[in-house]
Amino acid sequence: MPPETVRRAPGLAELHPGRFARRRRIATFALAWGTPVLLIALWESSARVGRLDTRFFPAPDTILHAGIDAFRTGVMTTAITDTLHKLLLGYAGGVLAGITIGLLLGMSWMARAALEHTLVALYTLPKLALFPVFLLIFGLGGLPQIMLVGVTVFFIVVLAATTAVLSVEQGYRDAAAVFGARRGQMLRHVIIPAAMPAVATAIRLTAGIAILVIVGIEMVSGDTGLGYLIFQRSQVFDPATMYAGVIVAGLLGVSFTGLVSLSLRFVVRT
Amino acid sequence: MIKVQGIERVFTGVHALGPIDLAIERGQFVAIVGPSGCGKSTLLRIAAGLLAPSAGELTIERADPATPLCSMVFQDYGIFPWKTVRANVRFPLDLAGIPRRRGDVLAREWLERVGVAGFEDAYPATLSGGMRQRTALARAFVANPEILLMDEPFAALDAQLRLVLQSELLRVWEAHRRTVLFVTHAIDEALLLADRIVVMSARPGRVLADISVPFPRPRHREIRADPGFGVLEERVWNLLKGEVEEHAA
Repeated sequence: MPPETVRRAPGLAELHPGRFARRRRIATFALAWGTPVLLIALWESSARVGRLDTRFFPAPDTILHAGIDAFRTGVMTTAITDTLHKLLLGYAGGVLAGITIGLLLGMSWMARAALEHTLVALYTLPKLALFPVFLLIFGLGGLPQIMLVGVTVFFIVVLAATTAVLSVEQGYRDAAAVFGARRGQMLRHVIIPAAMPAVATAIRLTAGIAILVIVGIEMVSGDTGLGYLIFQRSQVFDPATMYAGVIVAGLLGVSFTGLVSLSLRFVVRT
Repeated sequence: MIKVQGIERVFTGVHALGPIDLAIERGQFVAIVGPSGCGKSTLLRIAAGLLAPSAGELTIERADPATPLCSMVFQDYGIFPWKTVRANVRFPLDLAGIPRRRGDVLAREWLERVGVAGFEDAYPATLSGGMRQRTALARAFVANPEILLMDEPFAALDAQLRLVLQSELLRVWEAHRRTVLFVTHAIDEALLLADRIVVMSARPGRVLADISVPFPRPRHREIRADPGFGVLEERVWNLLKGEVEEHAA
């Protein structure tokens, strides 16, 4: 074997770190946007040359125009505000009730003994199966749908909050207890800030689930909202507006979860 | 004055501590040394009111019931990562309902005394371990408690930092004396800081010896060079050696 020298020397990243980072940034940006743009272009061209059955899969520009029409006639705007209204009420109610009851369960062994097992049992029950009961109790209209969203969110948040409170390090509780912290002070100075990150995760997670539930239940019940619009348009064979509704529902989900995450950033220090 | 009479503690069948009898005078700095698991931290937690004894009684005679009873410095988890350094030190004052502005002034004074001035708005995560324990010291002193409980406060620090913090504690305590119960593994640390060393046996922890430390105050690190220091260190080590070896065997 001939002798060989192993060389360790700076590469491009070390010699021109600025240029290297810029190049990497541009490539990342191009790839991230390139994929969806390419897929849409492929869809559009396949529809135009007749490779796709446009009765079921209309071209993206057809969908765009159907969507603009739906906005112009107000159908889409009404559907969005209806969905948003139910979503916000149900979600906010579920989150608030979940945090409150969760803190209570975490702080009081009596509350835990009385409620924990029942809540865990109910947690595993598919909330959708309860919907007929909600219809019986709350009648037709938006209220049973709001309740369904609220109950779904509540069960996830309440158990996450209880666990979060119970797993606050004993050392932190001790540190406050030595100084004679009372229950309310312990809650404010130790339990809530220590449990907040885990609770925030549940709040963020349930934002997406709430969208899923509201759009889903609108498809099978009532006559308002985006879910209803999507389902009804597919029934009357108007796939372009249906797809527009799907896209709007997707955008609504992205912006809602994004907004929730953003506002949590102001509350929770990470 | 703290009086410990026949204190014992059993954890689910394990006899961890005692019986222990001890009398601690007001203003005394008492170090408690002993092998791991001998219940010295348990004794401290009983004094702090975090844990009840299984048998016996610990009584504290208060000089001024209006002031806070005790503060504690922990090895870790002591200071809150979600509060700034200032808010951490102000915490006992907040609990006592002292106005925030007054609390901030006091917190600042103590942070200066322990050498953390200028970091008031930092969060603990951005500080070194030494700075965090200095903050914990400031918080323990700011409440002006009658009793200061310290559970191996410097054990997690590296050896050089430990020396620095020991000197800081000496300086601060000698200027602001109060009763201290200081749990430690380190014999030299106990000798440097304390008026009196309580040596405990392996589990269940009992008092093996009660040794008074004769070095005059104010003390400095240099007393380690004193021949008496080595003699006492050897004496405590000889007491502990048997306990540690027996325990490990």
